[in-house]
Amino acid sequence: MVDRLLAALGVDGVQWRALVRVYLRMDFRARGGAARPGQDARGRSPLFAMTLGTVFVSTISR
Amino acid sequence: MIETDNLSREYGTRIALHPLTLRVEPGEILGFLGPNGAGKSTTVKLLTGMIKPTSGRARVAGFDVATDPLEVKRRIGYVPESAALYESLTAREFLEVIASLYHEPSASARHRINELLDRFDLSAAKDQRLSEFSKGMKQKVVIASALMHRPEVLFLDEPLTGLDANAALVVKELIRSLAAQGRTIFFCSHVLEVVERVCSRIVIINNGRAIADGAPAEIAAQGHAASLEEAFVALTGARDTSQVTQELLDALEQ
Repeated sequence: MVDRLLAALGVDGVQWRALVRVYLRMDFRARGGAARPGQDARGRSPLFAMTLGTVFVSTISR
Repeated sequence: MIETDNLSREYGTRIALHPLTLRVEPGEILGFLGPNGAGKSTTVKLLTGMIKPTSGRARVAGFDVATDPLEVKRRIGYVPESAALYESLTAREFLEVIASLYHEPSASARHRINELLDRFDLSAAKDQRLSEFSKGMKQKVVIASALMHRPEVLFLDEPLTGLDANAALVVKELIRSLAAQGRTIFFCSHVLEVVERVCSRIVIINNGRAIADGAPAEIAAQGHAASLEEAFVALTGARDTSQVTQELLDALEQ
């Protein structure tokens, strides 16, 4: 459905997905602070930290 | 191939490019020379479909830039004078995005990315963010991204900016090899020595007009000069360099 909508708007679906992925990635990283050489960027994702935090808080609050 | 027919561009009342008719054959490396503000970047932007011409037509890789801009963009690589990179991405991630934009299947893209990173001596830094890269390393990534989809026509606007001597040598050799494969190279630069060494043909542009066209030796002859540098100064009407230097020194002493 998304592909049909994008095609109707004259947007290339493959390019749109690639750009959305990259902008989301950059957005999360920008909020995660500057990277240090050798640091694993994926480990610092705020989304990852938020998910872990939510699981932890919901576990201890039971 | 690149063909222009009376291609021109005006910005309001200012004429950035007077009607330009030009033909660059496959396998040819055209050096496009001119002083600052001469119209080099405007010409490249017109040929890459980034801006529309005021009049005239341009065909790149067999397609009209105005009527088939996407077909043109699929077939060209472009190294701009000052490229913007997504600096929070790593070199590998950035090239993956570029590969996706060109619809490269992921398996072949991975292979191509590793090949390009290896060629540009960036394999060890491929998982570092671009914000940590030096200017020269970023320039290598820009050149690698322009080559990702094996373009038929390559537009290079000051491609050697920031590169160290070894990397510059690699890029110059690469340009010659790409031309030998039949690709068309449009090479803009201020560095006359590089243009003279790399390009088989040179066009000099000044105040938006093409004022000379030919092999480096022919251009020197057109300017009644012993070298391309002297011819460039003579043809573009630059002021006497020693006089300009003296005026600057005088101004500093005041």
